[in-house]
Amino acid sequence: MVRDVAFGQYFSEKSVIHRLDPRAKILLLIAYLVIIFCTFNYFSLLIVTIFTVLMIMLSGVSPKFYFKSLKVIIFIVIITSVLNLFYGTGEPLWQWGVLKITLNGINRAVFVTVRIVCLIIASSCLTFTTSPTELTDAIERLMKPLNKIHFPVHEIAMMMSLALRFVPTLLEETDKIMAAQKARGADMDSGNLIARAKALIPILIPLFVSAFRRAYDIATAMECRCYRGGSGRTKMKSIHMSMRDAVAFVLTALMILGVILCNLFITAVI
Amino acid sequence: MDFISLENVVFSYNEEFESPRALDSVSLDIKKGEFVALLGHNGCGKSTVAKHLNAMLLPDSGKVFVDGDDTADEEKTYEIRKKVGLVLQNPDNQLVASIVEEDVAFGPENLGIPPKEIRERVDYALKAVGMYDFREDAPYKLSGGQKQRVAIAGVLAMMPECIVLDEPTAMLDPNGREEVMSTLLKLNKEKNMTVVLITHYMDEAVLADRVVVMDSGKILTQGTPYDVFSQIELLKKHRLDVPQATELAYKLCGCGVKFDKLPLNAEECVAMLREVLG
Amino acid sequence: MSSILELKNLSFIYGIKTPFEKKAVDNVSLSINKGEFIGIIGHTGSGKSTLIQMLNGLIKPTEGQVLFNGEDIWQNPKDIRKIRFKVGMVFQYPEYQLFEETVYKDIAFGPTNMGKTVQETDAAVKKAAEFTGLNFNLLQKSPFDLSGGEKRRAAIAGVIAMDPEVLVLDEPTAGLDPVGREVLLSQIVQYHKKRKNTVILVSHSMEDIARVADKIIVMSKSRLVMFDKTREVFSRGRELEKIGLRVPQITKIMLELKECGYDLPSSVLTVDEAFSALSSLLKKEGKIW
Repeated sequence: MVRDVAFGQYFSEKSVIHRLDPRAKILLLIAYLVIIFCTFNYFSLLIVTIFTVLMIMLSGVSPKFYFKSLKVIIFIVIITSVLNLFYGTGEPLWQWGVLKITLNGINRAVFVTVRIVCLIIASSCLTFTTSPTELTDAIERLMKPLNKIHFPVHEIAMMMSLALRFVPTLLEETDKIMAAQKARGADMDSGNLIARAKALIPILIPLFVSAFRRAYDIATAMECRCYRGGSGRTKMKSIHMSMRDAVAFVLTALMILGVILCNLFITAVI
Repeated sequence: MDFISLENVVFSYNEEFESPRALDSVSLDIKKGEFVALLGHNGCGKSTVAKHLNAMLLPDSGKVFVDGDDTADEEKTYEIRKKVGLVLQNPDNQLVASIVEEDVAFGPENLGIPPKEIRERVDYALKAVGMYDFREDAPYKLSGGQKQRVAIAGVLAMMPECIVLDEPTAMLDPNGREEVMSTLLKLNKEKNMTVVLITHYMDEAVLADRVVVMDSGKILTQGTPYDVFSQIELLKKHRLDVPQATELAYKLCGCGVKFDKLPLNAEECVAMLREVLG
Repeated sequence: MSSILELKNLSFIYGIKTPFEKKAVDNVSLSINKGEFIGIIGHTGSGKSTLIQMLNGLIKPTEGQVLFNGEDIWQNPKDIRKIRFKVGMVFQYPEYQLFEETVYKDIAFGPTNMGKTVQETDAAVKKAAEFTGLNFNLLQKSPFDLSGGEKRRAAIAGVIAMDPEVLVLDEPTAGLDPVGREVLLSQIVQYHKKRKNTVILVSHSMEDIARVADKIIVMSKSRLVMFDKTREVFSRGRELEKIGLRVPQITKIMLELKECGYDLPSSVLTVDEAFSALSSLLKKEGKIW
């Protein structure tokens, strides 16, 4: 079922990473994502991998859940690595018709796999350790300068946090509607593509109707609780950078430096 | 003047189409610390009354005063909503944050309260409804009764003087209903909170200090639960439920059994009948 | 009497082989006869929702069998859709499943899925609308323009239109006001009388169950704890209280009086029954004439 997916879930623990400023986490994640695509040899890849393992250990979330979020994209990983395996250049190590495997191909496959896996793990780490409210709060603050050009930063952050809040509720509702339509003989598991798309109508329409009804209710509830936009609002959990964040920045900077040095002094393999 | 007073309030949702008035000259006073139950069928106007109490709706004619302020005065709107918190029927659709304590903080955050004080208010509110241990949970993991208690905490954190609840138990199972009712009674008795409970369950209404029965946009009758539920003929005529205990005693009265007053719940009924049976 | 539904050692485990593994239904065996009106009571989470979803094959049991007219419904998994037409299921808040342009088309969804002809479907829709007291001039309206109570009835009509041999209703009166509850409940009773099929009603309202059910299934903590005639079940009021369930207020009053030693029947289900029992007792003792 859709709800078993671990990606995007939040685990309320008290690990070091949980206590980092969410803004720091977002910025560090961006830096990390850039750097994993700047690994060109095995030493730099090793540095990134060690850093990632460290991240999993420090996050206080069981590695099992990281594996679960990897499961979702396992096919993408396999397909891209297989494609890369056969698209390498240079001397073939093995050949069968047009298919050939080269050393360069193997390297490419390894790199692309590790990169995607690291990407998913790091992004999962952010969502596992940061509550949706913290996340949207951080995005709101990071984008604050955009307010000057009349970009509705608060509104967008509020919409994001409401959307995140209602994902589980709407998933549950989808299950219920599906069961109810199946009970009336709706056939969702057979037929061609068009028939299957048509079979979605009895699910999607009630789901939309219910989403609108909920939206109306939420608007009323928010008004009742004196919501009137972002101005004059305070936050219970004020976020601020601390020593911990400084350490995280330094560690990440060291990792980046390591990767750059490796790239400079060791020959690239891809 | 009473804490809340409605004076000849008239309201229609649709003025153009001569539809029947949702509220037809309703006058009602609610005192501080009172527990009032508003009873009636769907469409009798009770939810419309609720929305008038915190300036979500304004009367077409007539006046609503909350703590002396006219709800039609736009400058007072937020002041009034701070004093009169409204809890709605569907517990899922009024929790706005993904974490319980962050949801409870939503109201005070809107009021611009300093962070430290919000924290104190949130803890206070969650303890008052017995949901403190769940403060870091996600709302969707809670039962219906628990969600509704969080919604009550969300209102409490705004430090209101009155809580209005629009059919808060309609979507709950018996346990959830009991949780919500005992929470409300506790708030009313221990914190002297004014409570206006809108419901169509008679067994909830009997717990109030005063019951107001509405029908077709008008107040049909009001008084203590004993006064109201002894008017069995009137209630039956408007097809409202009567507690089974009351109905049984009423029927026995009809064939000559004497009771001082009609019982409202099973315990009272058993005690009274034992006295009669000797 | 022949049994229409038979459950044999039925169990269901959620999230099997995961950290969230939970036994929702634990070894339930029972047999429901043709034409019976069955009530199901139990807490939220007692397993009753899972149980009823196994009756029409929406959930496949982990262990055990569901026999419909003596045949295992999972004998041929490809045919499981057919069982859903025979065991009709009305979920909680069924109005949330309405989707068609008109009420008519929505009610026709089930019969059309069964492969009925246009004429057959038309007859089924009209009959279902009649059973649920839905005014014919509402049929051409959009379901989203109906009132709350009408939506509910339209949704129930959508299941009745399949003319199931067993009709399962999960809290059909939830969220309705007293008049709405009363009207809907008596329509269900009327339907059962006319159609003479089996009806299974899940409800939290003991008063409603006491009024309409012949037999009651009591679920607690995933297990079947009682399955007996309504009067028998409610005479065990103390046991029900122990598992956190109530009995109707009137039954409770009479049970407590009986425990005080008065000569009263052991299970009273309605106010009228209580009144006649008490008035005859009072007459006997010369307290009234």
